Amino acid sequence: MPRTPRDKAVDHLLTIYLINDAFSRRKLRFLPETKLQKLVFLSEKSMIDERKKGFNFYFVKLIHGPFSQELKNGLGRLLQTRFLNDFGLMPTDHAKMILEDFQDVIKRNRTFFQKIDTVNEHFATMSLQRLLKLVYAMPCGRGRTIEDLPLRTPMLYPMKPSNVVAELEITDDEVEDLLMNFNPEAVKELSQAMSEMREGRTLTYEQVFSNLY
Amino acid sequence: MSKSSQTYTKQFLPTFNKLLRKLRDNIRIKRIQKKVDEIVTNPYRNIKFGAGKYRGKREERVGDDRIFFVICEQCRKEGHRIYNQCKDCDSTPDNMITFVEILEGHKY
Repeated sequence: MPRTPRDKAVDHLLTIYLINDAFSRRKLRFLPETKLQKLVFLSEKSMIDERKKGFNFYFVKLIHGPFSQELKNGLGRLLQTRFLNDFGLMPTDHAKMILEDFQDVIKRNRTFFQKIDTVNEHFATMSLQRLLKLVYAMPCGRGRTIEDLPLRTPMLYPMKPSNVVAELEITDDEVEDLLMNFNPEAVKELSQAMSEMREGRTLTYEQVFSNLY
Repeated sequence: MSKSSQTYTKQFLPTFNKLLRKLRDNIRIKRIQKKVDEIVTNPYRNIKFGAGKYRGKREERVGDDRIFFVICEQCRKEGHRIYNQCKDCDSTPDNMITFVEILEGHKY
């Protein structure tokens, strides 16, 4: 199942929530990307175990355990649109603003966000080495652990709609509001417009609409 | 907030102009022009503010596209100056509407 724009918007929001929670409530000062991969993996797994469609990342086993290329790409987008700082993935004021503006979505879907809270509570402050050890030792059927799996074995993927018991509730309008915030081109244009506002550069109606067609 | 009896004036940011010209679609351009005229006539219908990075800006749909704008009196009243940071805020009248940008449908 390929991820839909809705899936991507939800994944970005949940990722920002997880990172912000790790920094603000768990008092992290630095979040290595490998640790983030594991925290998202554990959160997504805990949702999928209850057939809840929250995170939609595709995870495979790589050298350091579960890894999602889609999460890595998403992270790049969050860095590019300045929701996260390059250093240590610290959330910016924009991340806090988007979480404030989407409080309704968070309240409406408390059970999904609680899964993230629980994962962060247990694992966010754990040393990376210990967390990796713990994840490697997780059972994955037939008496095997994650460590036993061959490289590139698929581990998590978006659920088939028929398997979903509960889905994160979000309106089309909210999805669009999220997507425009995560689009680097749109954000660049907005930032250009903001500079013009600060510089007081404006045009008249005639300048804009004359000779257009 | 109903100020329909008041007359509004309008101005546009160069980014709005650039994005409008980039559309190269007369139907969409005419639709946007019509929407701008409607907003200036009655800016307080369909109040929806942008979220996240778009905080402090009002948005209106025009087909698949969206346009963002700021009404000075509303910006001041709602405490949105911190998000909009206009250089000439102190000298701009309350009845000014600044059209900020156009967001094409494929970008969200």
